[in-house]
Amino acid sequence: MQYSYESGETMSSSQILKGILEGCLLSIIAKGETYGYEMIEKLDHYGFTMVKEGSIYPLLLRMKKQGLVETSQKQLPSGGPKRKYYTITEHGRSELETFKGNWEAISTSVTKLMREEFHSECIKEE
Amino acid sequence: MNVSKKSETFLESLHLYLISSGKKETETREIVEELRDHLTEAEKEGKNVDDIIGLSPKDYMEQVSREMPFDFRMLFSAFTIFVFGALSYLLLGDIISGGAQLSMIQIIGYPILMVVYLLSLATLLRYTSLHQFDKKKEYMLISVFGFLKISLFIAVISLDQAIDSPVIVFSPLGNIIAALLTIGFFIGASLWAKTWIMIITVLIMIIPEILVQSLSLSEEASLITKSVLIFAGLFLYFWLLNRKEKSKETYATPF
Repeated sequence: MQYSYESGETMSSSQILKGILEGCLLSIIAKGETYGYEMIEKLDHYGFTMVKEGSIYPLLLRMKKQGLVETSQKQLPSGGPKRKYYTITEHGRSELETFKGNWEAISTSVTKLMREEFHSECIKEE
Repeated sequence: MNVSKKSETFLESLHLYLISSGKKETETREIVEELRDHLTEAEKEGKNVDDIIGLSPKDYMEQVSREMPFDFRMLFSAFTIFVFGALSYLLLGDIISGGAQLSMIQIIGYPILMVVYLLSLATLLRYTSLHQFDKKKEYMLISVFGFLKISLFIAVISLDQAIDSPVIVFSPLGNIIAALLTIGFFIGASLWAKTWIMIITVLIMIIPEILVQSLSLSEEASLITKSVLIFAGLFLYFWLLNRKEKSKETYATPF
């Protein structure tokens, strides 16, 4: 696999995290209609405690603009203002498949590499 | 469903920042309401707005803004309404006090004035929504801005008097057509914007003019009566508006 960077652009850890977060949000939305706060609770449940809650909204705006998700306003049974719900689109599903493929490749390689690193450190220590 | 005062201030700043950055009113309202929903839920669990946005309010607002498209249609409509509104008002005043005439300097000058005015208004609103000010500084900025607006008008008026440019004098029929067009414009724009504010302001400005003319007072007396009536009318109207606004607690929309 080859990665290319646009000139002048540095890939910071926060950008990597953003890309991963976008894939994870897609996966959560693909499991069924949901709203912002619920997504955060689900992310929390999977251990994404490093994600600042507010940071999902700019991402969700972008995902909607790209046509990966759709939104609808729904009245809550308890009354009060409407809540915004997200559902995944067909385009979103195929994007999620791409993400899954990429992620598998990356995570396998990274895990393998890190394991070797860990082993070599153990050997050095011995 | 209530959020803390701090969250409310943040949401209001965000609303103002996005609108003055030329984002769509509906989309702005949507994201602000979505964040309000989130903040309500989060505050129930004891989290506060700083933990949630993670960045400084300024950085967060800019991040949200980057993901929203610029609304050229709204900018264009706001500009058209401002320019035609100002021109219509000038024309209607002229028509009632005798007959309308427009010089080339006025025709070119007022739209330019409006562009400068709108751009500086947007810049001012963006600036104030990104920064927290004490009241004193806020009043100072607003007065500087008011001064700019008046200077712009004075500049166009003095230019108009200093330089001879071709003048279009309206014929009697032209006056009637212009009157109908301007009245039509005020009604149309008010229907579009779903507000009475423009029509009422115009009425407050125009009615004293008509009244004074029918009274056949001396020039000085009519000028004083007119000014007092207009001032009293505007004061009463804005006082009533302010009371209504306070009683129902909604967003104040700029412009």
